[in-house]
Amino acid sequence: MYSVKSIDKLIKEFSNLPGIGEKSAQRMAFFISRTSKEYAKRLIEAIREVMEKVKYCSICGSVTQTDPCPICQDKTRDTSIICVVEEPWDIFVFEKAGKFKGLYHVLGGAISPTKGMNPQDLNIRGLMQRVRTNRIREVILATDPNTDGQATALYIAKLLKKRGIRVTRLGMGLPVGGDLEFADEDTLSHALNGRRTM
Amino acid sequence: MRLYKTDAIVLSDSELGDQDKIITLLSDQYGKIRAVAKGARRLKSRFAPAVQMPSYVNAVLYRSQRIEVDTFNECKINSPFLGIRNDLVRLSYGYYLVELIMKFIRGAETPPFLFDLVLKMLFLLETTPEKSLPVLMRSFELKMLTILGYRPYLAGCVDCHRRIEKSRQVYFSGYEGGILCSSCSRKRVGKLVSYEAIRWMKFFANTPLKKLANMRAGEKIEKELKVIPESYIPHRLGEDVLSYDFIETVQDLEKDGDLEKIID
Repeated sequence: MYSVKSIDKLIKEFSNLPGIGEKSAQRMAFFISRTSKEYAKRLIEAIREVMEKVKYCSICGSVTQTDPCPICQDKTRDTSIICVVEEPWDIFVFEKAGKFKGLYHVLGGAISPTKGMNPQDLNIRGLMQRVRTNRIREVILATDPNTDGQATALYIAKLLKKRGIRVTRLGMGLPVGGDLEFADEDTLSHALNGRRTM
Repeated sequence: MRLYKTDAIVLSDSELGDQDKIITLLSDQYGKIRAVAKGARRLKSRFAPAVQMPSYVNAVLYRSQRIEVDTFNECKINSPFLGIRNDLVRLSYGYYLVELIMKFIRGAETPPFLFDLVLKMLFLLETTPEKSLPVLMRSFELKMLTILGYRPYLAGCVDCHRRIEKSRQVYFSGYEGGILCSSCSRKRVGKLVSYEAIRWMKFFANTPLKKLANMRAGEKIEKELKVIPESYIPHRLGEDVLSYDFIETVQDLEKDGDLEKIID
């Protein structure tokens, strides 16, 4: 069978990336083989920079180039509210919206016992330490609105309530632009519970 | 290539690409099914609310001749089991139940009555008082094992087949698949259990789940009956049921105790 060793090597590396199958890896590798040397250099440089400069914030667990991260260092932010998220990229979504001015805490996943993810595998200990050593008024649980996210939120809420801290969960209800006729029982009950006076 | 409709229980999900999910279902007619829910990772997806573990759904699926995984065409929720999903203790049992089915049912064939048993158990898990949940779960385990042909041998010693007398010591061996008398247990490994615990096992295996919804066997017996999930089931499966530990973790949290120890 005809093969080019260097291309095969690149295909193998690309196919290790999440969500990339062999076909996609093949397309990417052939794209690289045809692309300009400048682009390839920029790509290599970008990967190297991430590997060398990006680390995890020792306070919130987010990805950052400085430790602590700029958000944890920012004196203008409200340090009495922590928003708990599953993954570092969830912070980017909040920051893009620009509505939240408190601090974050990254758990590094969600409780999923059938997949072997238990509370001990998440950065819950770090959260409890932050709550104990800082004056935290409120913890917002922004885990995904699915069963694993709910299990994680319920677990952390139980731990925090024992410490007498106000625990809130992100509002769950009808999506903007959706049709009411397609709303399911769960979404509709959340939307009703979270209704507001106009 | 065809469309088919079935009632099913959502067992698990895994991510597929940026927007889709592969859902594992236990259906009443077609056994264990794997199906792609297109766009289920998006917030506005029509499938996302329906494909949450352990929802009971009515699904219209498309089966291709070329690939083993089906595709969701429609999915309507019969019961979302919000009482389970919004309560940590009940949810921990829900995870365990789902993992048992995932691990015991490997292929597309489901033994008769299993679907009905799982569905009944989910409805009871939602409403049964928390204190009766361990008893309910032990009964479910024994019934499930019976349906699958793995019922532990409780009629007498699994080795010499002699009846166990009330005055004698009884051992339970997950490896051997049932109870052992005191003389046979010397040759084999077994855990000492009371005669009463064995009687409760027989009772749980033969009594309808509904009748156990408010029952407790007492702390000592309930502790002894843990030989089923901790020894018997792992031996039958050849592997551990990962979510069993989560039930224990949640119970520790409920009992309070040292918070730092819990998250360590």
